Amino acid sequence: MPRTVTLNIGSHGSFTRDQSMEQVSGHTEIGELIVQMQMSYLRSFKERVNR
Amino acid sequence: MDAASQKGFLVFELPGAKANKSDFESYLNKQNIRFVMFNGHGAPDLITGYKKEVILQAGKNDNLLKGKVAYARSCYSLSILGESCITAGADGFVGYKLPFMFVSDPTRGAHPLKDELAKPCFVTSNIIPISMLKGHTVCETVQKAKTEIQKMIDYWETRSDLVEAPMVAACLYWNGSGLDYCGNGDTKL
Repeated sequence: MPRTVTLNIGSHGSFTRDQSMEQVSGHTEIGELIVQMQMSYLRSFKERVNR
Repeated sequence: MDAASQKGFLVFELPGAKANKSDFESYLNKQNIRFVMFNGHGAPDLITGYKKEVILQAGKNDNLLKGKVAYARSCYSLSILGESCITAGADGFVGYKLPFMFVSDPTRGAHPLKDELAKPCFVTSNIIPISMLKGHTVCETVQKAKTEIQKMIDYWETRSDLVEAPMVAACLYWNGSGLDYCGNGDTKL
């Protein structure tokens, strides 16, 4: 993700690429949400590809 | 709001500082309102307005939605608040079980609908009130939104020209997963 792009997570706020990575590597609540979001999408992608 | 006005609905808007508990309760108590759309921060049991003041809360003033249909673009609000509003007499409550997410690039546009990255999540989210105003049931509306979300995902998965595209698709999928309703699915406005 470019540095100007942010991921906005409801009332939790906006996170740049670097901030998102910090949250994920820090195993914070936000980090866990980001991982959940990505993993749920990747699983759905895999299911659709395998159909 | 434009869609509502075009359909002949009278629209009451509470922007900015007017999105406070007092004004919100006053409008719902005094006006003949059928559909309420929230665009504020949320938690499983509440929705906030201006400066994060709680304006709707499970077990406190959820009876204000009695006989009405609500759509809350507010994180988690379907979890507890949605059910409590139905128990308190609301006809339908459409919302999200998860936090609403979107990607944005402020350099592309200050308003989400002018930001190419944010627009997909808001356009698909806006399908809910537009579909309700067109006379579809709550169940049909949620299904329509999910169908459009999947079409949008399919499109963004082809955007190999944009490095942000996978993240946009992932946010769309996430929001679609969290979108649902409670109450009578056959409810119309």
